[in-house]
Amino acid sequence: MIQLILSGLALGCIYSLIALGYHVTFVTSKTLNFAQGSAMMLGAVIMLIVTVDFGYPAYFGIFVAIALLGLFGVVLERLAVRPFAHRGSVAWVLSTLAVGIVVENVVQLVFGKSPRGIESSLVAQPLKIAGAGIYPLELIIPVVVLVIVFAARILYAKSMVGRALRATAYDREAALAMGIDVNKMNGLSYALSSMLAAIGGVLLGPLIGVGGQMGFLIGLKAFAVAIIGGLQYPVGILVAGLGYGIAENMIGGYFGSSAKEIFGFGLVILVLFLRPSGLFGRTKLRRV
Amino acid sequence: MLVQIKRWSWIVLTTLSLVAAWFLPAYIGRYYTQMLSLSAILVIASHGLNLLAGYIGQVSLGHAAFYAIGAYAGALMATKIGFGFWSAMPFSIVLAALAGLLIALPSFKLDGPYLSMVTIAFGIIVHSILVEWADLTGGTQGVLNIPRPTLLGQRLLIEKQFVVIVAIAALATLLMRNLIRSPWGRNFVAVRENPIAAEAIGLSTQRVKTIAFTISAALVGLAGHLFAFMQGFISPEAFEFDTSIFFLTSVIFGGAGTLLGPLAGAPIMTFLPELLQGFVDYRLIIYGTLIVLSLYVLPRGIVGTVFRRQSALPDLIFDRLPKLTTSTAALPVHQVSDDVPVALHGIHMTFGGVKALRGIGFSVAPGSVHALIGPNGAGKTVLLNVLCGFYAPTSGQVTLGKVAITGLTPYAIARRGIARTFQTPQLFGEMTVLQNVLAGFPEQGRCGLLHALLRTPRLMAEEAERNAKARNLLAFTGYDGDLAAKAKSLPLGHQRLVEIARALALSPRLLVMDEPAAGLNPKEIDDLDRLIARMRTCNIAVLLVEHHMDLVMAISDRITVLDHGEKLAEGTPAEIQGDPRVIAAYLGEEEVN
Repeated sequence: MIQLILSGLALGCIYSLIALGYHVTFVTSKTLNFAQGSAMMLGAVIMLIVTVDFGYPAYFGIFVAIALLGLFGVVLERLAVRPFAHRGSVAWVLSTLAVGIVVENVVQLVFGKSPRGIESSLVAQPLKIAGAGIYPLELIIPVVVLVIVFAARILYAKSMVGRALRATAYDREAALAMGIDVNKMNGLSYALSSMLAAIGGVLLGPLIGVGGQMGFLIGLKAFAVAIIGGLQYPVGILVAGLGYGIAENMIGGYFGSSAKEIFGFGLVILVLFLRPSGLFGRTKLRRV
Repeated sequence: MLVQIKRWSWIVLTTLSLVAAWFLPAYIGRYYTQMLSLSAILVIASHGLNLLAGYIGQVSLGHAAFYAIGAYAGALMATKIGFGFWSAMPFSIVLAALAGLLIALPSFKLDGPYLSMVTIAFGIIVHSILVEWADLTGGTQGVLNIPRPTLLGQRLLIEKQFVVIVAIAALATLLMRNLIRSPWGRNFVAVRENPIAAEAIGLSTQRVKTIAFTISAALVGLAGHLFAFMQGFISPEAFEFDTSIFFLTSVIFGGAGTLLGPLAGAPIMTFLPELLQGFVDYRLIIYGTLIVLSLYVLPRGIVGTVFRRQSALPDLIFDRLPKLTTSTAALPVHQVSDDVPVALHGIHMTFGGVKALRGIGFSVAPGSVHALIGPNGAGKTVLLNVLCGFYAPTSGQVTLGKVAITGLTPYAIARRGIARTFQTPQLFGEMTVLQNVLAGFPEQGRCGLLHALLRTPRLMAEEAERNAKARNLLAFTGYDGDLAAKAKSLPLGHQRLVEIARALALSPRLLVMDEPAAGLNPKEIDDLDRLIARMRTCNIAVLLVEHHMDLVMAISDRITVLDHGEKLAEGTPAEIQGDPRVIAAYLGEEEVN
């Protein structure tokens, strides 16, 4: 029981982190990055290559993974989002999905199909807490995620770039008129979103193993979390992610793994039915 | 002549494809016959998804679920309770349609990414159930030994089964064509092109989308049914997320929102994997790349690129339209019979902390011209939006005669005879001028689905009548341009007239106009002046927000002045021009002198 809650908490934090990536691009550019799952996977794979195959220390691997994924986000936005953003959601949904599919399969081709583990002292020996066995990493994850979320909030609120991002999110035209390079902000939001996914990937890699297919379902679940929490509401997303992770783990523990997907995605439909802007969102008046 | 050829071309093409389907298998062998059967099935599924993604403009990333429901319904009814290919078919279709309805009803309060989420979620749930509920579905093994289809008591060989599938695909294509060319097609495209305008002409966008989604699911369910019987076995593998993407790619690549798009996209998507057989590992990479490339190079898909100039909707009756003759302009528009005033009582509207309206009340007498004036930010447009149901007021009431209509949806208010035009004309850009007006007739929405699918004589007669009425309305407004031009290509003055004609199609008792003279040249303003006078003679009341004081003073029976969300004054033009408060707040000195 406690074990299920604690490991669910760790998983939920990862969902929140990736889900915040959806939030970041949605508020700035009104588009969503459906390659989030692949971005997470790519982060984990890069980390593994740098640390295991080349033997560099873990912190360096993490740094490289996050930096490269930032670049990935910029390129993705430039090539697969910006040209289609004005054309309605069909185009960018498909293009980001397609990029995700390509990335996933290229990685499987280059990296091999079977997942590999990252050895880490943090998952070597489970700790005993109130009778439950839990890896140190699973305890570290929530701390790291909370630090990142608060750092991001401060950055958003106080820095010049953060203000420009918020301005773009609030009113694109007005931001343009104030001399903010809206395209650059959209690129930045994609970089941030992919970097959040990368952090999720390097944190999760040692726990579940690294492989081309690790990202797909998690990416979708993170999307579900973003929707449940409310795409516009970071705090809602954080809470929804934790709740989702814990509930999913409990249901998976008692009813089996297919049941947890049915539950999770059923919940999304239910939430959207009852509260279209998410559990923590408010419905906005549309402008006529 | 050309029209005749066009009319027959469909019958000729259908016949040709059936003849080809009859003889082709002998030459290409069983393997390729099966591949062609599969692409015919994909054509049907693509038609289904195209209705949603193309004509309504909503992406579904979970249509594999309906494919699965159709397939499993057919397969299980055949293997467990002994139904045949034909007898199980209606159940497969209805079950998929019901599932579609179930998902569509709650989701169409949403759109864009939210709808994508619901469809993804539904796809995953259905797939998980297929795997999990092994007692019924056979789990990962799936359903084996599905009996071959029979016809007239004969078991169909692969070759003859192919002919049956092609015939069904051809039938589906024909029915789709009829549906799209019917008033239903206009409603679909109207909702895609401009949801706000669609509501303003009395269409419930949610209802239209739900219907489209249900039909879409039914078609994909039919495709799934055929797939199960064609293969003879099914397993959950065939209904994963990838399949939904595969359908969507077929639609986009072929040309979303074109009737022929699925016919082009589906075969290519079926045979592409064949070409790539040596590169199994690269297959999804190439798919993904192809999607992105086709978005770049062929944004309208193959068919959309070839027929670039055509309007989004083909015309049902007339392929070539003669120019309007102005003589018809003398014809009267309908007369409103009942004399019921529309009134506002103590309307308050608060946005957050901002009080946009503070206790506004006035009444628009039947058949009168009532102007609403005031400085920018006075709350005029907000008031119109409250009146037309786009905003629910914080407090206060809108009444039609003695009946309160406060808080009704915009389309419900429109159907009660309150039409609306917007500050920037809101037309259905990809539709022609005539189609825009046709879409405005409220009774067109009541055309039965069967009439639409079968193009019954009754429907054709109604359409001919509507056509005449629409042209008459356009002539009434003084529109003298091309009836077949796309609305988005019109100059502003013409857009305004088309929008007014479309609003008049509603037979309104009250027409609410938001700055109709904005951006018009002096001659056009004069024409507008006369048009409003003509409407008054038809007993149509007009509520008008306007800044051109010459126009307002010349045509209004009554004027209400708003300032900072409050009613400053109300009276006849003469009274308003003499009111010192109005002069101070809005008109300024020189207007009176």
